[in-house]
Amino acid sequence: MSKENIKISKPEVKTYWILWDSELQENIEAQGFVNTDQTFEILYTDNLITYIDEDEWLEVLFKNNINPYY
Amino acid sequence: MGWGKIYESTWWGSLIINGWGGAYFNLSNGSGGGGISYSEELDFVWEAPTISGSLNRTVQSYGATNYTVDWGDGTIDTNLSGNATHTYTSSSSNSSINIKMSGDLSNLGGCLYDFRSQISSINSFGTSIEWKALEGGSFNRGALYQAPLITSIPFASLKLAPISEQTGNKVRFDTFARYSTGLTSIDFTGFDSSRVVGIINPFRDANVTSITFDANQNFSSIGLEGQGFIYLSNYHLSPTAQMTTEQYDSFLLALASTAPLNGIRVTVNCGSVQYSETGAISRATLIANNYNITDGGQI
Repeated sequence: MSKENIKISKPEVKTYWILWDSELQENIEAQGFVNTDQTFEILYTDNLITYIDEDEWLEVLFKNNINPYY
Repeated sequence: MGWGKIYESTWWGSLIINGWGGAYFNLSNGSGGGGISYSEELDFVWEAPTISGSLNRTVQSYGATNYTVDWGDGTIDTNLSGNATHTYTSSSSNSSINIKMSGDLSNLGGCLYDFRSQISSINSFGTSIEWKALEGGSFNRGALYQAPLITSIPFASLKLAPISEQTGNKVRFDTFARYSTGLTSIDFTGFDSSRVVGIINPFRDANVTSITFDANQNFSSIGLEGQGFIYLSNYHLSPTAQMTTEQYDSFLLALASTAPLNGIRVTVNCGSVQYSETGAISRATLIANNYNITDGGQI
């Protein structure tokens, strides 16, 4: 039985996310953030990591040569 | 659309996603934008300001050793090596100057940087030039970053070097035409996308409401970040107008009807606009096909 979609709906604080291509976390497949007035939805995955600390999120992205605010 | 003709409900031709709900196929031949032939030179129009005294403009060559610049005022410099600076003399009024460059140029951003804020049109990116990098100039911005007078981009004339020959940050579409506020539609028809290695926010803060691509162009599979081409947000669609629920429902339907549904990861961010029951099925279809969607949720 397939698991339900992951949904982050109108979080209390801005929530950042990174989707890795696998549990090995070698390649970032996608990334973004969810504002408090937004809803984010994605198929169930074990490879989605969320952050509420923007710096922590940015640190991971920068290490992978990604500037989300480009 | 800049060329070709769009027919509704025809299943061949190029896929078109219209940000405001249209879903069409473009019947142009897909091999250069409906048969338009483009110049072999980089060819663009610079809206020169009134010049009091003199005004210098520089081409940043990024190592080019043999290239030619027709500065558009009667001066043609050939066999150039390294950066080239030209001095435009005083003029009593604004004037449209047609500038052309050719030769072993490699960095598009470096060629356009000094002009781009006043470039009104790109006639051709130069079909004989294989660009090794698109970003250049100060801050390594996209080639047409903050080019507000541009209304269209002739991607069919843009040729990229093989990935192994690309330089710097390689050929990425990051911020390619960000803040180019005159840009309302993007047409990738006829563009060979296979050599693009990354795409982030190419048209953010522009006013793009319509995107066209060939059926065989799967930008969503490109990119180190996997963000893909269809990375839409309110900013990408329109920085000034939030979609209504009705428009967003139509947009979701258009996307689900025309965009690749092959399991490739696609990120869509539509701000806080809400969808209704009408758009819910389309949205669910997209998510089931590996789209991740951020929006305002269902009303």
